[in-house]
Amino acid sequence: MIYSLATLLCFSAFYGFAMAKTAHYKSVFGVRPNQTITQRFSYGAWIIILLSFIVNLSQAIGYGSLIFCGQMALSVLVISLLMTYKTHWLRSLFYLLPALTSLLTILTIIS
Amino acid sequence: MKDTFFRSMTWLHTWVGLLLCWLLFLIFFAGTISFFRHEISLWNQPAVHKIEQPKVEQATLINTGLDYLQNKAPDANRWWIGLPSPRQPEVHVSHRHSQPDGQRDKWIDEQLDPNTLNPIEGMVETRGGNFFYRLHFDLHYMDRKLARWLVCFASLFMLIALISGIVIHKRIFKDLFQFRPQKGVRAWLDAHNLSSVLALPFHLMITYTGLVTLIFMLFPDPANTLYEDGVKGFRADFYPERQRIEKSEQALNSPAFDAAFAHFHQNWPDQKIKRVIVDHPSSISATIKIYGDNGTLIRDEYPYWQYSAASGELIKTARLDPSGGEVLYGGMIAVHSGRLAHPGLRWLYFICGIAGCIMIATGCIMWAKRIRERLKPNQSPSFGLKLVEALNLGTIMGLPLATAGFFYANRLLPADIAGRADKEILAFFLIWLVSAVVAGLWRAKRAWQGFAYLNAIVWLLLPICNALTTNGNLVTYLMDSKWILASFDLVFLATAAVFFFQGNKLGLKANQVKSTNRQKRPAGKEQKA
Repeated sequence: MIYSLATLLCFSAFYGFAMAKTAHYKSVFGVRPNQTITQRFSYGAWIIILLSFIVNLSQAIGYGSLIFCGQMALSVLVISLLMTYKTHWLRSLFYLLPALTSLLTILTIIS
Repeated sequence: MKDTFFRSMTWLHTWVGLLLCWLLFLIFFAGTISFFRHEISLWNQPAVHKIEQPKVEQATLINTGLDYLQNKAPDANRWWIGLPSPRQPEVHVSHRHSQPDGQRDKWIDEQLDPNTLNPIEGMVETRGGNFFYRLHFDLHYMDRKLARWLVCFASLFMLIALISGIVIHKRIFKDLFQFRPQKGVRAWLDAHNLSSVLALPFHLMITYTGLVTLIFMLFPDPANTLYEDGVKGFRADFYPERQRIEKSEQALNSPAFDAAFAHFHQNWPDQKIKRVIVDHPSSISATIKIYGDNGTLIRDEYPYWQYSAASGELIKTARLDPSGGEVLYGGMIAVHSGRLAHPGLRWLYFICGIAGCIMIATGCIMWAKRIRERLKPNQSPSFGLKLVEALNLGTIMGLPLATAGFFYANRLLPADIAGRADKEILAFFLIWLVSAVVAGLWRAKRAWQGFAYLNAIVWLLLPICNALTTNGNLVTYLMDSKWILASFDLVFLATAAVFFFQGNKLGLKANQVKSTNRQKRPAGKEQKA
């Protein structure tokens, strides 16, 4: 469960990195982002990826680092494929990712 | 040397990448598959499919294994008991026998059901996933030493290509997430960049640690300096369990196995056992070697205990408290082999390995495409270009086809045929050879499409072949929660889908090129007129 949460956090972080790029943001939301939005996505992504790394390391330092590398690869792969073939899905993810992360966090705390 | 650093790096990246890229593709491909080495071995043995995970304790399994070997092979020079794991449910009981005239000792492998404790009926002779594992660095038919030297150099070239690639593709991080499939050669560059960057830590790690696994071939000087026997002396120090134990001619009448295991369990009650080896079991010099399970610890070599089988006394231990150097060296090899990984991490390793294959494949395809684009309209391609195109097609499309052939051979060859395991491997290499010959004769875009559709068909039919030749199929695997076997069928279907998608895309492109040429021709004629 905890590794699923870390994966979701990592994916969210790379979603943030992608949306911090003007071209990608425009292709997803149809408008150019302003400076504030870009900065928010960028800072948010850095914080979340750090959180994901910490969650992974909290389980096991060596094994967690390996999993983190894999999670990054998977996240970039999925986002790139979505960006190429299903751009509009990424718009829904803007709402879906925080909801899923919150749900998974609650489930992790309970379990 | 080129006039600028950037140009020098580009030249280096191109030629270092191209020179051994087909060998690198084979190494990456076989390595990626061997992350599921034990799972492939499981798939290749239908008799083991019905075996459930053990419900009895390890101690019972070890006692059963020892009793079985005592009855079956009392005069063997070594017994080997491999205990079940979530990846391998069966108990391996093997015995090794000396051969006359200095021939290599002969191993006889048998498997026990961990629940009924009886031998498993219907086992077939197969190399399973071990074939891909060995192919990854021994290249099969080649002399082992020569093969490892080649793999060493290929890894070194790969590391140089990776580092020079990071230097020359300046925008790789800026262009992250960018893949434009409609942009001709640019699409190949995007795919090359994306597959490189998305798993860059993995590519660097796997290449560097790959070199570390063979480091004493490339760099034996530290061992030669520190030990009188050089690398041999180092190995004797680092792997005490591999040292030969002299056999005494005096017979051992009542082995003290129970005393040895009682001591072990009393002193290390939480330690899981990976395997047990008994050397010279019939002699008074018999020794019991117990290898502990590392679990998910980043360590390659197992902790080790050696007991006297005559007295049950502990003789020596190794790696219970490894030094910094041992942790570093063993850790690097463990990270490379991925043996420590649970299924989730194993799949991540697999995805990154596939990304590595795509990175190498797109690199060599891109080189050929660029050279072909530079050809003048009435200029014929050089021998070098033809060779590269043929090797690209034969390797990139031939290897998956050969792999499917290996799986078919496993299911279709008669169970009792002599040298069955070698015949499976022969099927793999024959199919690859035929693919390479066809690729040499027919290198057109249609050939790529033909190979893609052929791959799609053979991978699609593989689950059907499995269902017809065994007692299971995708539905029963899912219903019985046999996730490993179900994953095989799903991966076969996904591979077929990918090749089908690729075939369609190649067909579309070929048609586009044809229609563009047709449109261009009348315009050219008008200009001439």
